[in-house]
Amino acid sequence: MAAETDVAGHPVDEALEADDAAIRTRGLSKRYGRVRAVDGLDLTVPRGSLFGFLGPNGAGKSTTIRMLTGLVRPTAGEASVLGVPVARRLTLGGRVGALVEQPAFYAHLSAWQNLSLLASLSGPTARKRLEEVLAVVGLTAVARRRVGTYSHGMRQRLGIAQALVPRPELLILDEPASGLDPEGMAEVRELLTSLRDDGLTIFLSSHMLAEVEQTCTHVAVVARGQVVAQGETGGMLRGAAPGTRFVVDDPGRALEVLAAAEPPAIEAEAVDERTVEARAKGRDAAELNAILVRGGVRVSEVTPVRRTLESFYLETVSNAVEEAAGTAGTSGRAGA
Amino acid sequence: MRLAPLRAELTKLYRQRITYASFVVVLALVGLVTWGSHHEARHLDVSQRVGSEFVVAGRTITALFVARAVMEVALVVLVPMLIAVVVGALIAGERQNGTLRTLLTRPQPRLRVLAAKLLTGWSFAASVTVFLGLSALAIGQLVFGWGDLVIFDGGLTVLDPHTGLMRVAEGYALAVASMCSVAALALMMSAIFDNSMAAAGLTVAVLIVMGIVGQMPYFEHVKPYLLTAHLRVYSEMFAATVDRAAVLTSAGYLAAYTALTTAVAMIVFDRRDVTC
Repeated sequence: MAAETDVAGHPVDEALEADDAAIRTRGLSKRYGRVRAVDGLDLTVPRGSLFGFLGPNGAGKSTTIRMLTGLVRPTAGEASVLGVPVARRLTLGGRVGALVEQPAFYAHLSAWQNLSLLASLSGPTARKRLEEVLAVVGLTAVARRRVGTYSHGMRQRLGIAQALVPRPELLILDEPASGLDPEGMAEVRELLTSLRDDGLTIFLSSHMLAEVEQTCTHVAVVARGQVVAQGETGGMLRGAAPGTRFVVDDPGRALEVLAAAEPPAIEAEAVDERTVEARAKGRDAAELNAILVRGGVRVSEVTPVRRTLESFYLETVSNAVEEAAGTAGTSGRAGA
Repeated sequence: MRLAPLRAELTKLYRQRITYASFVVVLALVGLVTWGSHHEARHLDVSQRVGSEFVVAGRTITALFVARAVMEVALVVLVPMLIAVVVGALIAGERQNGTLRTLLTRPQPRLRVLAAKLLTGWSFAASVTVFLGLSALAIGQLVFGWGDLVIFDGGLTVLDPHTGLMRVAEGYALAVASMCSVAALALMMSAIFDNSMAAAGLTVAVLIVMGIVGQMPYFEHVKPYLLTAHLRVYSEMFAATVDRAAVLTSAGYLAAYTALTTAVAMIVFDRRDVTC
């Protein structure tokens, strides 16, 4: 079988193909009428990972999470959680905890009553366990207050607490830090890291790329209902060709020189009237600089561009969208 | 673990204000009916009601009479409406405020959750109906005292207190069955619609439409099959002679309606995606 690659042609981390995946989907699809919310999604989440599930709005992240948690039935494909097909997920009992989208609770009940009520549906739960999770999310002091009086951040923390109560092996969280203030976000980050250190697998969707880069061991990027990149966070950022910015006397000439260089091909673009950014696999900044100088371009400054998850994400999503537009255009012509 | 969803549903229901507000409204109605009866009793002309010259000695209005009278004013509109509002929110309300997704991510089969909601809806229907009867008996006892049950059924029948109490108890048992079928209808609407007010409104609308159709001579042949034709089955217990066959027929229709609406609710609730 050919090795799986991401949209940029990088091989997917082989560890993701191990049999003991916490989540695995193959060709997972969901249609709402004529709309394909998820379209053949292949995803592998290794056990013990803190997995960031990224994608633009409408990419299919929430629908995927809803299918994994049994809220939505897939139209096609397979999905398994902790080795159990989603259709039989009830046999997992409390081994999976989930927070799907905005946390919703019974506003007329207290946090304690909400937790107690929801915990009872996952199995017998000791009072001490409820106290523990409330302490973990910092809500002990307000546990007897009606949830209707809670702030958004408090509800968010209660949402994480309800997912933690049954001591799950896998935690599925949809935007857990959404709406939190910086302190709250830092607390959630620390909490997730410590839970991961305790051996939990955490699968979280998020738009907060800086947070994901700091905390997640693995990421997947989804666009138009399909996974377009997945792997270890560090590996994915390292694997991509690093960029270098050159301040030059003639950016137009610089682009011509770089375009005319011997293979491997160099990707280059003008950033402003004095700067070009270039990247090529297997070529470092010194080599690119030498090509420019040999071509008669005066280089006055060379700056390596640090590759962030944000830049990787934007590039990956943009490529996926362009590719999809190209495919649509080709099919349109073929059909004409 | 199997009973956990039922406990959870009962906890949610009996800790919310609307539940108790319903009991307060029922109590207020019983108070108003008793007060009105108290004043009316002075002017009650039994001879007009039996269509001939008549002399009545003793009390015609007693606690049992009040318990019977409030059925006619409460069980036709008020109690079904309260049931529609409370039970109509059991699924649609949770879908509206997002708690349905929190609930359905628990390791519980959907049909067990639905069964818990149905039993909870029935518990509300039963408790509000029984509360109506008990509060009518209690307030009637305070105002009019204990005594015979006088039935105006074309003629005038006087049942001794023991027989009267049995008739009232049986009447309320049948009323509970009627109101449970309304609860099942409301739960079906709640499974179908996303908005609790839409579920409640449509439940009441279905009952009103059936009631109107049942009144129209053109639809006479349809009338026996309408739910509303059997909701007042309890009134059979207050005829001079109880027609047990008619009671059984109506009970059968109520059971059939309950089974049908529950089956639809099961199919919808089990298969429907939770997208909000």
